[in-house]
Amino acid sequence: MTDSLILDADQELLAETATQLFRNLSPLDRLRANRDDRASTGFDADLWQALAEQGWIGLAVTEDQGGVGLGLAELCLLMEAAGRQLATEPILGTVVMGAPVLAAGAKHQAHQDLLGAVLEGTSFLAMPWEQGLPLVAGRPLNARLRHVVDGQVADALILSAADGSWWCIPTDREGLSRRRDQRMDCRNSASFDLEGLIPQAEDRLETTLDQEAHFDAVAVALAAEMLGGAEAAFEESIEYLKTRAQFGGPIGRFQALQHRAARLYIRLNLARSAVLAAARTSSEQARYASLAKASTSETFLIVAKEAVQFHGGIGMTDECTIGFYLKRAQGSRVMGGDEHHHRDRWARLGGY
Amino acid sequence: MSDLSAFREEAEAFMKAAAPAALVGARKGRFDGFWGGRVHAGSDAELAWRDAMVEKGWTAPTWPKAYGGGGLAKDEARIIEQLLEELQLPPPVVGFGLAMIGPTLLDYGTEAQKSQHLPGITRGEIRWCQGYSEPGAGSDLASLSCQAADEGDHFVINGQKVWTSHADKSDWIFCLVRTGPKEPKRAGITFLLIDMASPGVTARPIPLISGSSPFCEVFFDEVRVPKANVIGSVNEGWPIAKALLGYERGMIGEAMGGELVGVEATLAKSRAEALRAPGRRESLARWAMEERCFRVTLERIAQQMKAGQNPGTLSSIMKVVGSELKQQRWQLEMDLAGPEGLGWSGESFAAEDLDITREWLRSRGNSIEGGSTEIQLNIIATRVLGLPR
Ligand SMILES: Cc1cc2nc3c(=O)[nH]c(=O)nc-3n(C[C@H](O)[C@H](O)[C@H](O)COP(=O)(O)OP(=O)(O)OC[C@H]3O[C@@H](n4cnc5c(N)ncnc54)[C@H](O)[C@@H]3O)c2cc1C
Repeated sequence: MTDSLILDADQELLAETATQLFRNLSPLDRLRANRDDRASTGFDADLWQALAEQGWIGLAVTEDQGGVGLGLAELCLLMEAAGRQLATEPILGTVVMGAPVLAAGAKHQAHQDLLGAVLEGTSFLAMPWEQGLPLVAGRPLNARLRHVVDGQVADALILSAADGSWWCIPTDREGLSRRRDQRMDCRNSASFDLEGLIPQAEDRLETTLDQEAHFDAVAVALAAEMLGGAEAAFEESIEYLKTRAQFGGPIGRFQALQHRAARLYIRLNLARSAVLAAARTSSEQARYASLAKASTSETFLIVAKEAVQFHGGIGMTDECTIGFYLKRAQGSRVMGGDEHHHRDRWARLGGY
Repeated sequence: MSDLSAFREEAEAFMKAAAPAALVGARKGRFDGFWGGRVHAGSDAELAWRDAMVEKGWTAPTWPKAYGGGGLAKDEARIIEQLLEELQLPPPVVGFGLAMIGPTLLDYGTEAQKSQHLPGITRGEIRWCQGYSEPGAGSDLASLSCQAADEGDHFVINGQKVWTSHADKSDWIFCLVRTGPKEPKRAGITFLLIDMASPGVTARPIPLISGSSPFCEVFFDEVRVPKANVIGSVNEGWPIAKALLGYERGMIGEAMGGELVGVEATLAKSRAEALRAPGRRESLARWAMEERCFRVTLERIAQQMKAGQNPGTLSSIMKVVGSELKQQRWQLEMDLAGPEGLGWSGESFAAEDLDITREWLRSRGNSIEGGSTEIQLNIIATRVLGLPR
């Protein structure tokens, strides 16, 4: 590939700004509070407002639709920063999955208004993993949509239909019920039952956005989030190896641990290359998306497991933050396809 | 048209006209080609190709013209490299001269040393080998003990080197010798160039598990070497030795980046049947994906260097990943070949399958040569991650 793999000055600044924002407003302790307070939305309203005011929500929405007009490369920088802090704000559901589709297809007033509210930070979107739903205007729809990311606050669901079209269904529509998921990985989601829900002709979004390409972009952004999480868990572990003393000195002097740490470092660098390439490539996008999701799925989980092991007993406690990375690693790995799924797809795309 | 694309057109026209028909399409790897030397095994076509490229200075594109190089900028040299790849031509000259001692001489040699040695390297007339390892000094290279006794205007060398690749075919050897005390061990090492034709030098090939004997033991028995052959200063050879190892790892990494391209597509076609066996397809995909990550990382390093950034820590991982990818590649090839990969010689096995067997065996050395994987991991852990020693 010959596309640029290094951040330009604007992207460096963007990455730095996002990292600072999450570091300041999204301490890991919040995860415990949000988890224990089951009545809450599961995220921080102030941080979401800050994201809206700074234009992050419309990062990948075109300027004529009120967004910033940037692309996947920049979305990945945002996701990586959020991933470092295991942020629970509805970025994946609203910013990555929903807003680009809604913006592409919002032609009439109701959708325009919804998009406006989304960009202001007052409305939320979610997009189920289920694809190819039999959506036809006027025909009752029955479906179970499981563990829809950020679905607990979604005002509308962005659905991909079997005929390649996109639909935007308000969550207060008759025939739709929602249950909030209580998950181990502190990611917010909800499950929906659609029973005799009637799609309206106006629910259909006027866009020909390719479904597979959009799901690929989502996978790449999720991969970037996982990369951020893996890096943060790794850095925390290296710090621990340098400070925890046993047998008269820091445990990081033991070669058995050093080599394992070096191996993780290698994996992280390869995963970073995969994410950078996937976010920037102008060819083989599908293959690179699979490369990024497979690499980070495998890497994040290995890093997180090793991180717990490096921490010893303290790593098993709820008080230690390292366990949150382990939970998130598995949670993100099984969404959008794990490494086995993506290796299979890679091979298929390679003609074997 | 930019200067670069004008250069590309000109270079392409020249190379197409100059390349002997027998060599077009004959490219194997970035470091497979005419090894040169006083006694060489070059074909007429290889020699003609060498001569044509020497004329331009393009056997060493970035070296100064005064020493037989092409005086080209990095961008231009990259174009030459790309054209060789596109036209599937072997490099006109390869070897440790171009890849290791040449760049080191450019950095550390005196004017007289550069004039004496570099032109012979660019023309492929003098073949070089690397005299670092000894029976008692492998990973712990600085504990080497090959003695150089000071006798006024020359040294007298007594001792042994081992694992010296191609020593029996080489004309000169760049050697680390002990000129000072054993402690501190890095402070008594001198970097010395020795003519293999000197009286008292013997090279003896060692058979490998792969059946060939590319490396040797080298014995020095009262060998006289002029002091003018010292690179840098006496007892101050260690930093130079390490700089050369940097070039060596660079070469190993680059060689791998190139030679693994296309392996997936070829296997997908030629082993379609075997790939249906349980687990094989995912193994190939898994390998190919890791290889792609590796290749993207190499590209990232190249782009960072071009942008004037220091890729520093990234290059430290390339040796480990590159050698393992190469080993996994041959393991895959063996697994897909099944019992056809068990041949050693003779007619009952296909020639390509015999090659696989040998390459599989040879590849075990990839994680040993040029600083073992364990040593690279030590370097990453302590120098990159800052873990305590
Ligand atoms: C194909 C091939 C070509 C070669 N060509 C040349 C050449 O042209 N010129 C030349 O000078 N040399 C050459 N070498 C030698 C090579 O550089 C040495 O083999 C290498 O440095 C390892 O040294 P050793 O063989 O003595 O192994 P040792 O140093 O004895 O190592 C044995 C094992 O112990 C491990 N080990 C050693 N120290 C440590 C440590 N501190 N921590 C953890 N593990 C450790 C090693 O990783 C290895 O697994 C070549 C080797 C090969 C295989």
